[in-house]
Amino acid sequence: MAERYKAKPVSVTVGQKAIVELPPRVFRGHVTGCMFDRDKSFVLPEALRCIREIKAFHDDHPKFAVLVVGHTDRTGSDDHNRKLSEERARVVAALLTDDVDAWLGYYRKGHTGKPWGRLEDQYMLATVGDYKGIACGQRSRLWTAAIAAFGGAGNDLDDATRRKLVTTYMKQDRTSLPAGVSIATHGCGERHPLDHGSGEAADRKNRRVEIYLFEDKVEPPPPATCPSGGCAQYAQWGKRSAPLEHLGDAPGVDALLAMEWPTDVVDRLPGDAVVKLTPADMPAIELQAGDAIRELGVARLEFPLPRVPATTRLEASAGGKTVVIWEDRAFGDIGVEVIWSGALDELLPPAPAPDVAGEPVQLTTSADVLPPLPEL
Amino acid sequence: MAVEHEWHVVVTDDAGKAVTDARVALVQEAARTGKDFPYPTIAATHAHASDGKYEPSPAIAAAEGDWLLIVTRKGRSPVVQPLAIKKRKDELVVSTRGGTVATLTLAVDVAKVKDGTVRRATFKVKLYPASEIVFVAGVDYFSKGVEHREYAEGRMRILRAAKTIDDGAIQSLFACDERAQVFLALPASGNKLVEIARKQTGPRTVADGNVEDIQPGRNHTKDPALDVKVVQFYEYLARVGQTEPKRVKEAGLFSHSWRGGPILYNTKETPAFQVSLARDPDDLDARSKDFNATNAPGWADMTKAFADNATYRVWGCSATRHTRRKMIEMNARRHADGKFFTVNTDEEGHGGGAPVLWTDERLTPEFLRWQLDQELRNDSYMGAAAAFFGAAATVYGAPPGAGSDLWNKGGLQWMMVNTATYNDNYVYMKREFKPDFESTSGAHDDGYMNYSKMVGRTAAAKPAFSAKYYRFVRFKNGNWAQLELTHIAKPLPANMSTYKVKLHVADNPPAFAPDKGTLYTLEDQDDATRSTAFFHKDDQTVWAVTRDATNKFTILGAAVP
Repeated sequence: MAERYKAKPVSVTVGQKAIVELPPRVFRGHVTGCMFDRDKSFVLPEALRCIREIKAFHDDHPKFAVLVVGHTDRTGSDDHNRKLSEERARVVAALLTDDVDAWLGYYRKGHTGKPWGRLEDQYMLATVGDYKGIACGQRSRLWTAAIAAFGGAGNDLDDATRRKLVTTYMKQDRTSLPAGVSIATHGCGERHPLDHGSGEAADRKNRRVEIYLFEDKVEPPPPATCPSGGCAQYAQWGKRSAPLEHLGDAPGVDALLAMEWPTDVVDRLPGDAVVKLTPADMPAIELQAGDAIRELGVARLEFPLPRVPATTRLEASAGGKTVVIWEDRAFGDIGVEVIWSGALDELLPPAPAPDVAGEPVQLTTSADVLPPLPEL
Repeated sequence: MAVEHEWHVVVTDDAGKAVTDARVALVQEAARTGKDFPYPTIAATHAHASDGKYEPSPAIAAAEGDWLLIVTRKGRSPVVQPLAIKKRKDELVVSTRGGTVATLTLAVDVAKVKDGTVRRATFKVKLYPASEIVFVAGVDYFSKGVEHREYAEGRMRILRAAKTIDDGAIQSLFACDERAQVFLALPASGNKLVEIARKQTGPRTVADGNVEDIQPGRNHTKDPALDVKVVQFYEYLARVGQTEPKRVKEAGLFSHSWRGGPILYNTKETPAFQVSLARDPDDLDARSKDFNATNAPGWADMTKAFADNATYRVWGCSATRHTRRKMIEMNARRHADGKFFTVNTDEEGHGGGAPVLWTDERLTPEFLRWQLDQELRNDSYMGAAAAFFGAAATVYGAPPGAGSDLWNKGGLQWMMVNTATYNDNYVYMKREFKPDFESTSGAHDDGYMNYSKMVGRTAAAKPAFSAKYYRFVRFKNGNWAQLELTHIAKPLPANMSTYKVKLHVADNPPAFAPDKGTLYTLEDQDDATRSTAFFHKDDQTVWAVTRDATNKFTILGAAVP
């Protein structure tokens, strides 16, 4: 007779043949670290390592069912987060099945997460193309060059080039499951955080998906929606799972250095003006001044860094002239004196002299303007 | 995450040398209420640390809202930068408000790490030697939408491009449209000046009191109690003269104008003040009497305000068509001295259309020279100003009979005489007033006469008497006509209450022999009984004359007083 394994010692009679029926195995892989940007559903390229692990395991167990469960941080409302987590799960499912159209849909409004755009293009083109700059959503010469190298033109991708990019990105080696594989999705919103702390570090861990592989079928099946207070199924999936492998933290942004100037000054800089940040022990980041984010009357250039550098050097260049804004400045140290050896205004073109000739607009001539006349 | 905000100020002079004794105040906008620019009573918020670097002392509790950075030092142009501090999440973002002044750079560096954020705002301020330009922008009383403020702003840009002023110069503008004195600074970028302060003399209202519907250049409601007065312009200059002499590089009035002065609103003096040396307190316009012995003491210190080589300019017209017609006649026929000639001029009203004003004048070339000399010397605003300012400031204005045009190209607006249009005026003035006639020839200030030089010349001698000199004016809109015996400046008659009058002139009429002189008959074309006549004798007396039904003229028994 067969006896079903019940997660406790099984009694068998010595000397007799016995079949112990094991329950379906559940394999869970979850990716920690910065897998998603805040309020975005695009799965960051760092997650591809995890996807490839899933793919490799699934290749060995082609009949396994897959469940993708999305999560969010605690920014935003409960309902928003639940929908966003569902969206994240669907995005990963689409990646696993090469559903190009599904991804292209996220570039349009109407979804819970913020629409995808240049930033997502940069993530992908940095992975499958020649984009050498920082994925920060800003235009730059590097970005324009990368678009051109990929067959596009201008400062942004057109629809056809973007389709080509998404297709190429999805067709990367070892990221796609075979056609016909069953993939269920579910979103738990913010209800099952990995890190119960607050702050960006905790948020970053909680913005994630977890991928479960079931030997037979998804068990227990996910509820229609994750109820307030969380779903009991999540605990069961976790309890019954054996982690595939801890995939480690994806490299993220641990430090951000930004410069802000009044927009009316930045707007007048020459078109070739760039601002270059050189961390002491990391590659330099060069941003075009014209690509600054404009908000609240300031133009802001952001330099995301994977870790806090020892010191930084910041300089701006235009028209063959370079001014050093600071050098050897300790990053973020309060009290460290900023050395102002130059300022952005030194790159401004001289104010043009007024034109010498103009067309007169004769509104006031002797015919029009009579002196006050004497009155008797 | 904790956010640390820092507010640093670095002050240097225009040579880049650290300034260690400036007053640096970073205050909320409300702090300036009731205080005069540049707010000397506002206490410093920053103390000098080292090498021109100023740090808050005590720490500044910044909050969302409008702020001001004020940096001043005696003998230097103040730097005032309006700022806006806005909240973005848990950070306070600072930006310049209304543009960035040329004397300031603002940069904020933001460092975010896991433990928190440091936002460091650094204001780098450059203090230039004190310099100011003081302008007035009048109302377009034709309501055609001319915004004279734009021309005042354009002038500042022109002066900067010509390096007459530096980046630190402040413009103090009496903006009549806006009922305000506004202070403007050159921008760090672009062409739009930065309004750094404003002092209202009254609410910015239009005829119906609707503040929202303000359209500068249109429908200004005159109100002596609320409007900016030209007197305030004088008093401000005098105050500068008292407190910080030699600061003003240029003063100027941008408005409609005539020989008698800039027309800021087209107010009129009440009859009592028309014959008084004193100013009418309800009159808002500039008058030549502003510089007489009665009024000038009220702002005598104006002269001290001006820097070396400073100028005082009236940018509007000095146009009277009749004056110009006389010049054209002289240029065309080159009459010899002693030869009488007559000039007849028709003029339309302000709105154009049919003529409403007719002027007939008989004169000689030398009389015209004397007449113009007298007018610019004794009967023009610019001439009176030139006499008042003396060497303190050179006064420029359109020459007699010349209008000023509005010019606009590439977003730059300026007022200037079209010397091609008014070529005859310059040909005449250069020929008849050489070597003293001098006019500007800049690309943006062409054709303005140096009144100071003209006033400084030896006065033209008055030509010998002749009874033949006269000017006869008829004005349809006022329905009057008047004869003036110009050599003796006698208007006749006291009241001719119709413009439908025909003048008959007869020199040495036989009926009056052996007396010699000119008989002027003013024929009322509607009612012959109201006709009148005068005999101007060669002994300079004037006699009333009657004419009977047989056309016999009889000199009445007494000379006209």
